[in-house]
Amino acid sequence: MRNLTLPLSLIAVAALLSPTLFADPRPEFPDAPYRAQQPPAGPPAQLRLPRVETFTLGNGLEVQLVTRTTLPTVQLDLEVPGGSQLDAPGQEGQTNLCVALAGESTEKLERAAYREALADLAANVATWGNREQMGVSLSVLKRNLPQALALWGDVLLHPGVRTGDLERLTAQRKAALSQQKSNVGGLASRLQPLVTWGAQHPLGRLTTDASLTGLTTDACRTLWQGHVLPKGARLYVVGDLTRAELTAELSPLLSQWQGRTPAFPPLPPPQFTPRQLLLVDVPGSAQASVNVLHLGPQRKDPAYPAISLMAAILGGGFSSRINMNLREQHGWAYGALGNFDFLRSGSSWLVTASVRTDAAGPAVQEIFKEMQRMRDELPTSDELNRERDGFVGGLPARWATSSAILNGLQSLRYLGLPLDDDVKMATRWQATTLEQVRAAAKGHIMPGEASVLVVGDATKVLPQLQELTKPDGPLAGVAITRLNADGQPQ
Amino acid sequence: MTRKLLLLMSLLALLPAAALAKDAAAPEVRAADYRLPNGLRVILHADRSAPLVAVDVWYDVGSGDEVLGRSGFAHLFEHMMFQGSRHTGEDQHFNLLRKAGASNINGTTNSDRTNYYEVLPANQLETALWLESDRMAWLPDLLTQKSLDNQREVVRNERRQRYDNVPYGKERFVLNQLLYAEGHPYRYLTIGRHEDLEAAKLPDVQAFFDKWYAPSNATLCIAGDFDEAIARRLVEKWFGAFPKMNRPQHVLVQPVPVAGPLRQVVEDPFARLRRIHFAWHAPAHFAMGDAELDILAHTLGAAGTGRLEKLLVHEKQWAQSVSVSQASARMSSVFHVMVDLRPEADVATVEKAVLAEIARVRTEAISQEELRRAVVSIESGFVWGLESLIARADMLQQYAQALGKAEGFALDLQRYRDADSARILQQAKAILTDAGRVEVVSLPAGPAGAPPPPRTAPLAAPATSTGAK
Repeated sequence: MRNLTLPLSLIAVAALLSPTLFADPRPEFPDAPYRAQQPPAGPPAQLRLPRVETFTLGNGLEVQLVTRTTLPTVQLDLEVPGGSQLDAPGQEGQTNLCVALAGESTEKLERAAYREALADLAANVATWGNREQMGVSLSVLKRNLPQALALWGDVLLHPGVRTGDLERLTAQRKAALSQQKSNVGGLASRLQPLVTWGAQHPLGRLTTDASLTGLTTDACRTLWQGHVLPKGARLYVVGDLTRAELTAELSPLLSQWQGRTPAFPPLPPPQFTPRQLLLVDVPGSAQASVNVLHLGPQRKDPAYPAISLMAAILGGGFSSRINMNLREQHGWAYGALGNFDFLRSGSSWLVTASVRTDAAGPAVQEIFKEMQRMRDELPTSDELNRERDGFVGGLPARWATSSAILNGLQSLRYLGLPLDDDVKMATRWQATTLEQVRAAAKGHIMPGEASVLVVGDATKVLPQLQELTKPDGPLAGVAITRLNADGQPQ
Repeated sequence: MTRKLLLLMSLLALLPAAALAKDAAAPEVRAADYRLPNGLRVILHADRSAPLVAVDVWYDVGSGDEVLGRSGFAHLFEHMMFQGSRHTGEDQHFNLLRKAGASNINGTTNSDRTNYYEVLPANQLETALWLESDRMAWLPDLLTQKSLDNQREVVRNERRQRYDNVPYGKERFVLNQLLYAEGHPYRYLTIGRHEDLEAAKLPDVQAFFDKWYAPSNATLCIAGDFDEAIARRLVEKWFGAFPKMNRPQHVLVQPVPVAGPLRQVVEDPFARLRRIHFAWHAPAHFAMGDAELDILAHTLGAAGTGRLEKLLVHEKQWAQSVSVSQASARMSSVFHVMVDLRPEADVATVEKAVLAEIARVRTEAISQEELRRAVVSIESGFVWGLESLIARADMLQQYAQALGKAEGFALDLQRYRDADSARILQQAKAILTDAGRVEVVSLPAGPAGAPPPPRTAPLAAPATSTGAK
């Protein structure tokens, strides 16, 4: 037995000894000339995209199937346009509350019995909603697919939508909301969309206690029946089954399920207000969240290859300028990131970091400095090569597992991109020049328009923000606006 | 996927949901498992389904090996391992791997081990071996006071971001302070105390490296798309010439039994919902009783079907959420029952309801239906857990460390298939006692703007906490 087991009383004695006393002197490790250089890589593998079978079922439902036999599992996801963009003003949060409610039970089975039925199959059926879409997913071992698929179909066609579940879910969402509003991280993610899209925009309006109140089971049923319909919806399936098996399993569902789901409604133009300096107070915070944001380009912008490389150099990963500055150079943060969030209709640029409270103002300064430098100077060729090779070399991992394939197909479809987008993009990344990267920064990184949201201990942060508004500061002359946790000016 | 892994999967697929028989087929994830003459353990798991390779190095050292006054050191040291070594250059680790197309790069520390890993295109395997061998041999060449000062600040910011500035960060420290007496290394969270992090000196880094970062105290796992003969040759090239050093000894400390029940109230400035957190010492990872308590945790807390979840979240609607878990670790595990209360609920009433259910599982065996449901869920979790290459590498590492063989999947799964309700009852009786119970109740700390309440004595932490770089 190489380990020593001691009663606690002896540990105190051991603990007084310096760790150095335990160590043997370290012997020499023999060096070798070949260690001085990074070893050369072998020939890269050809990018293998999944083989996708696309077909339409009798009721108009479009299916994308990828058969994979590596694990005895099946994952599928039915997706329709919807999500929180459907919320009427004053009813923010109600669509996704309804989506959650639909996933609680079926007409036949109340919540407890429904959850037991799923548990007995080790099946996971989940309803989900985000900003622009919603759906019902299933993951299960193949051996239990038929029974699990029946439960999934019940949620799709005959969700329970019970009053008791609605009351409980509403109360839980309100409790979760109060918890989100207590702390720096929760408040920053709550308020970022408001600052980006504007207080009246479907993507910017905030969920509140009041807006969560008033959903009825009737309204929820109407919403579900009006949107979760086969024509215009998409079903993604990845796993250990063939097209014939899938269609055989699905056919009992199809005869009763008919209709067309409404298309994506057009979003109104963003209502971004440039050069705001917004402060939200969380007394006693150990760190402040600093956020620098503005609007960004379309995903289909012809300059996207240069834009994505530029964003990666500036804020996209551990090696990015912003992370190296705030974390490795200054030690102000555990990490800092900047990137574009691409939606179907546009994008937003966000740099965010949780920093030591006394570094909130200086961190904003440095972020603006890095954004400006990205516009003013060419990146180094090391930076460009690193991110370009990283993008291209990283492509196989995007298609390596069933979960990754499912997410990849959904994301391409949402953005309206073809399956071989990665292949085309690899070529375009490889052709991108230093000048194109700088042009992308000039076109899409806008320190002169950016707004800043800081969440932290206001007594300590406010004087730092005032420094930013002095004539030589990045937000010269800008008035500081205090917001409450619901985004209202105080 | 190799044919062998595929075989395992089809065996699993054929098992009917109810097959819990002791003679059920014993599936396995195959791996070569050998040692170099210098003691470095090597695990090779081939899976050629995607042109990727995961390189995962475990050092058999964690925060459980820290000495008094140096809490958080194992994790701080882990950060230093990314700062560069003799041949790789200062702070270039991430740059080199990024350029090589790595899709996942990190290191993590828990009470029992430290791991370093990267997932990269298969043709870049040798770059990972170059980087890992260089920092195993020559980290100190590039150690500087400046980089230690910087990473100390980074780690203190990590602590602020993940513990000090979030709801329920405080109660995690207090809970371990109640569970583990001063002197037990699990008393302190892996992240460590600010004052201990501040006290860390450059010679401590060198000494920690000399003691723990020996080839004989490390295991290298390569998983993914490679040819085994070539991989063996590359491992020999990059690690074979390293000297044999003695394996360092761990001091395994028996926890002093809790003289309870103990209860402490914590005022939390960031909590808006009250939290009741019960905990008990439990059998160590893979010790007799560990799997039984996993099953019991499922029976009590599984989403949708767990007894406490159904009672408190659904029926009574006193709780926002319930979580029950057996947090397994080398010297001692902890069985947790955690309830976040809805605003209108009464703490004493909920405490009573939880303890009544705990008393029930001490006196009545769980039903066959509950047992079956838990095992089916755990089996299914094993299969889904195999999807990611790096998760599989970590699993093989875990088995190598705890069971002495990387091919431990079947043995692990068998623990659950063998469990019966009588043994679960026996564990509940022995472990979930009143005298062994500790409880921390988090209360929202007054109106916003009120100064935070004074901090109680030395702070402490869960053994399973993991600090990623």
